[in-house]
Amino acid sequence: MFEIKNITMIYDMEKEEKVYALGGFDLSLPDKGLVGIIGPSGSGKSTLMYCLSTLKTLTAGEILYNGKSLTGLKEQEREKLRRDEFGFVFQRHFLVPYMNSLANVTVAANGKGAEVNARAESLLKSLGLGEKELKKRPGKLSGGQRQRVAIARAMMNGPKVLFADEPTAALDHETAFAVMDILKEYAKEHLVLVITHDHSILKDADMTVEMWDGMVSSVKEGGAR
Amino acid sequence: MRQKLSAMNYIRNNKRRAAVLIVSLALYLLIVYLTQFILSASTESFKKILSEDTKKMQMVQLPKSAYGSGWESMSEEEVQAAYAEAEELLMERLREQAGVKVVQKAQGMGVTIYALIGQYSFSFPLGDEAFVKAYMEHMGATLKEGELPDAPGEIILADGIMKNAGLTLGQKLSDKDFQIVGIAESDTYFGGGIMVSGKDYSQPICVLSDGSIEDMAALLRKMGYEFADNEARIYDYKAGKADYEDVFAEVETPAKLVFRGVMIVMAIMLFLVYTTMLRDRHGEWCLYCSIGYGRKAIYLSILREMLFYFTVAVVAGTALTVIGMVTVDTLLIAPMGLACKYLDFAVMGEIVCGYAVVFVLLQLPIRLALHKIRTVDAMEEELY
Repeated sequence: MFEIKNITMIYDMEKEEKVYALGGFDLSLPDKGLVGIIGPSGSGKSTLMYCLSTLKTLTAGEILYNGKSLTGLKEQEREKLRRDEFGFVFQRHFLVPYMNSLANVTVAANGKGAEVNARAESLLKSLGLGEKELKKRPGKLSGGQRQRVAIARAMMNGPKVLFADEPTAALDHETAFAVMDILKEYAKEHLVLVITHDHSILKDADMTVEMWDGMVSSVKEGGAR
Repeated sequence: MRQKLSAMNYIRNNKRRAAVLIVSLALYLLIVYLTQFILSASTESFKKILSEDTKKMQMVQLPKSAYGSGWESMSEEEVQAAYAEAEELLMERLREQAGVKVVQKAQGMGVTIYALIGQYSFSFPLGDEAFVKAYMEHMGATLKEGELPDAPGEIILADGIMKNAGLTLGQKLSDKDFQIVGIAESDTYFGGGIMVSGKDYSQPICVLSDGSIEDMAALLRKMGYEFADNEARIYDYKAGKADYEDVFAEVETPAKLVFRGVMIVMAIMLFLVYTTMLRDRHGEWCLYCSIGYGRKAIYLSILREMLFYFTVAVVAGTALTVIGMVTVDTLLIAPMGLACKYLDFAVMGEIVCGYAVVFVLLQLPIRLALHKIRTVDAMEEELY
């Protein structure tokens, strides 16, 4: 699905001391499956995710998405891609504080009306939220529940690629594994990219990419150990 | 088809904040329009006296000098006789003028109309019985209650004057020389009656015309009478209109101050409230931008929210204003026999301009908020 060719991402281009977030590497990602991108803080894994999802623009190199280059896309085309084909679970879940769980999911929906509400409700329930939680605002939900709402929002339009940045960072182990089970299930038919520095949650991954200092240090089939 | 960013999501979940905006906008409409309505009780009432009545009825009293010279050499009796003769001649000549229907000597009886703001005094003519009937017919007044005057000192007054002065049928006025014997149904502040002889009441010439004589002084000068404006007593449409414009200016200046003051207070209040609201929504818009909504889509959702605030405010403000106007009319204006103006397109325009100013002013914090929108990656970088 993604073909990454010698990509470079440099911060502070205008300064004398440039920061290389991505240092020039090639990588190929499959059409579906759970892909873990693992590495310590500052290794460039989040930057890679932002570049793949069009939130950031590369300094050099090229990313092909389904054979089409993401380089040089207009802002509107990038927005459309994010809307229609990508889903996001951010590190801090970024739920809208004044909306209840249901509205937080439907806000990202392609379409409107009862059908959308029914799908959002079904998603939230399949992720383990009860009827009462649907009407609760994020402030009244636990960390795990909030993360599930964020995942439901990301899945709402059935995106081809789901980007999850540290989706279990704020969760206890039990909830973290439950969240990973949900993502693993979704990865059966779609590509799910999970950014993490926690090896334990990637034991069931189909592919693990390890990053170090802005470079890919290893690519393995299967989960991390 | 992509769902638009719903404006109702925010409004439904932030009812208090939405209510503050809506109430502020609605209060602006209520205060400005109701102020105009209360002031209209003065302008509309005085307009009846000064513009409408003076088109059909004029009063004239010229100085002796207008009738010629040599008055100094005459005795008091000779002056009176010569002046009466000159006035008779003037009346004869006036009757020949186009548009003039009736010319008669009449006593002027003063009356004062008190509005909610300000007051205005004017005179209505007293003549003989035939004149009263002709005058009533000419002014479109009809007997509503009581009887028509047929004896010296008997007068008939319009319902509006009766209410305004708190008079009752049968009441005696002015040292008991005059008594109200009838109430007239009239669109204006009609008053008429039978003059009292033997008293030193002034007796100007009263002209009933078809409305074509707007400037009586000009007509008299055209007829050859020379006089200074400050020496003659002429009550016609031109004088009435000038008086009305003075009254209107006196009322309009404080009204404009109220309108502008309310608009400035409202604009400042809305600016502060709205800027705070926008600041609280920064994270929400950054999320929208990250998941694929452009700034344009976000701006359009803000515009839809504003459209909702303004629409509800106009509907609520209009409803409150109508209730307010009917209440003020019922409790204050109608009992005082005053006229008022429910539909004022000039003030409506003023309110629309006020809303436009607020709308434009609010674009500043909106533009600033839109400019500050970042995608989540930038927010994460700012955080670390």
